[in-house]
Amino acid sequence: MSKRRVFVLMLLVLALPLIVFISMSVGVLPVSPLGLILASLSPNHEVNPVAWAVIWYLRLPRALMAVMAGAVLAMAGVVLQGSLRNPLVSPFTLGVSSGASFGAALAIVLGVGIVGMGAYLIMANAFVFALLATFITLGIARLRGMTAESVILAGIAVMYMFSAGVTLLQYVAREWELTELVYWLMGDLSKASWHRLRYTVLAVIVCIPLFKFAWDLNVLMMGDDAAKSLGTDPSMTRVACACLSALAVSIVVCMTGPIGFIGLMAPHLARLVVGSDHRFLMPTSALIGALLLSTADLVARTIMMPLELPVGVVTAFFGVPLFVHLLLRTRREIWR
Amino acid sequence: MFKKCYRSAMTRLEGVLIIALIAVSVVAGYAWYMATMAPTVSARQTITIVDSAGRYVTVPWPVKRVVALTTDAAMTIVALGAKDVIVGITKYAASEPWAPNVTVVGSSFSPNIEAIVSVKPDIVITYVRWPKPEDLEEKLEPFGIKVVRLDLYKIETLFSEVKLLGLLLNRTEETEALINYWKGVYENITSRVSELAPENKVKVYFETYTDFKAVGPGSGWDQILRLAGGINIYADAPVTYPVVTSEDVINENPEVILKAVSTSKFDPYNATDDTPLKQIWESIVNRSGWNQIDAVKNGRVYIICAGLLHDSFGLVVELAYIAKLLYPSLFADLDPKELHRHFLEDNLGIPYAGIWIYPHE
Repeated sequence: MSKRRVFVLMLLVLALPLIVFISMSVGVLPVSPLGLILASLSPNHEVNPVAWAVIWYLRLPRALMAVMAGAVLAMAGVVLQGSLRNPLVSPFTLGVSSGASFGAALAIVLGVGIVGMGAYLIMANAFVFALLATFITLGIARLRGMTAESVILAGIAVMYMFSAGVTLLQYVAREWELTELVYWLMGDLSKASWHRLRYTVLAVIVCIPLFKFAWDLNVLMMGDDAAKSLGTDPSMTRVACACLSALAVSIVVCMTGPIGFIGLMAPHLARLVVGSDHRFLMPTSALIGALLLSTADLVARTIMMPLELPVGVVTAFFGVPLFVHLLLRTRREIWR
Repeated sequence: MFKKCYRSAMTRLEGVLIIALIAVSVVAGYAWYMATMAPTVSARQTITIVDSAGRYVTVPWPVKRVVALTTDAAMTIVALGAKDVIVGITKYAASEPWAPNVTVVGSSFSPNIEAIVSVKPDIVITYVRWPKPEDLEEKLEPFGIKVVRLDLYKIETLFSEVKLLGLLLNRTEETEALINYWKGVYENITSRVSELAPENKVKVYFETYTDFKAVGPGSGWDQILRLAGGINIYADAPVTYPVVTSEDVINENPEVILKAVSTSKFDPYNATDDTPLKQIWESIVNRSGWNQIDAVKNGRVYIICAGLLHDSFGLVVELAYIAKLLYPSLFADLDPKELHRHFLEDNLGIPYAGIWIYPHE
């Protein structure tokens, strides 16, 4: 059993660089990392500067962004599903995406932000409001003892509130602003750059302490009372997991816009493969999330070349049938 | 039993993963490509300009290859007689009848950087506000491609921006002629309007593509109405596109009603049958209670097809059409159709055709 899990993990670890490599080999311009390597090894060492710039400045940051963003979303998803004991929870349940959308909409439509940062106004605003939404959610939930149900219900309430705010801003927006906002709300990875990648690395680092909670999450699956008797504080675990994952997801979402599906489905796909022991489930989810988003972005970039589809559309279109297929083929109970 | 089922699901997944791995290796093999493009090194004259975003931009001069990330820029370049300098165009502009048949590089809101790089432009022209510099300038910088930001969709900056564009393309004579012609038309209209006494100005209800969605301050239509001498009854609305009630329009009692129709509903350039416009017109005059409105009583309800008229110098043609609809006697000598013909045939090089206004006089 354990051997099988290790095998799956190894397979995923091997698949990831492969998909990154393919992703970097495909695009409008016929250049690939392999071509670059061959060119640099050729007798005259003639590397085409355009080819190099395409790979280094455009494709590599984007490929890495897909890997990291996918991993972070999946990680947050698995941790939240576990700590709230609910299979319908996603990283956006705490209100992160609607908060970020509202922040971005404020910046795009009214040009105002809590922190004025010129070019990065939209990003900064999205980040601040994503965190704000999370804190409101957790604040409300605290009043009801931080039970799983209270967190989810508070999250839903906050989500609706911020969504209404976005709708209101859409109503007020002029046509160009509306177009810009709609593009932002669809979520995509085209904004990836080395500069932004630094923040994404930060999000990944924020996720690392979450591994510490693997055992607590396993215990929590048996119910709050059982967890308490085994020495795990359910509300503490919940707050810690929620805060860390919300922080990580906020960093990602403020740069990519809300990319749905990954955070909800990657944990379930991982559960199908390695079962529900969080010590295996967490790394597997992260890897599957990274793979899913990388593949989806590859498809988004190439299916209508030179036009790019928003990656969120692709994750849902290709991910959902895959998920349903696996769901129907597995007779075992997935949840638990 | 439990274990068995679990295992059978596992093997299937493994199968899927292995097939995926094989597929992936095949694609990797296919992607095998030697980078052989020669670097473009050439000593060219340069020019430094200040674009509409207020930035100093140094670009090769004269500009020979342009990616137009906006329909307005592409249309203006075509009107300047420099169609052949356009090497990349947006997906929206590509569908226009006057558009050159060149590489599509995405849209103003999601440009494909690689596609832009692939056509080796001297400059990329885009709006002042879109896309954001971090999505365009920052990404084009490693390739040495400069971005010039010109709006070309606002009538107040149109002429100076066209002049700058003409300078970049080294077509100052053509530019001068073009600007003089359209500026003449524009000033002819606005100067006559400025002499109108406030009490003689016409009250207008302008409805956008959506029923009961009017135009408010900050919208392009509101500006055109004002320049044409009309009083937009929702000029003081709190939002740009206010949704109004039927009752309120009746209460305001406009003297003219204008309704815009989108090109997706009715393609004016290729249209030969005006029935769809007639239906829209009838649906408006037959709205309950609207027979009380002066505009309906006096037969002054018009359907306008925007399409081609909404970009670049088309704005002046649009202004002429609306000015004439509002003040037929003041502009008795103004012939919008002739201006329109001139714009399409002489500027854009396509035959004058289509149905643009209903009812046509």
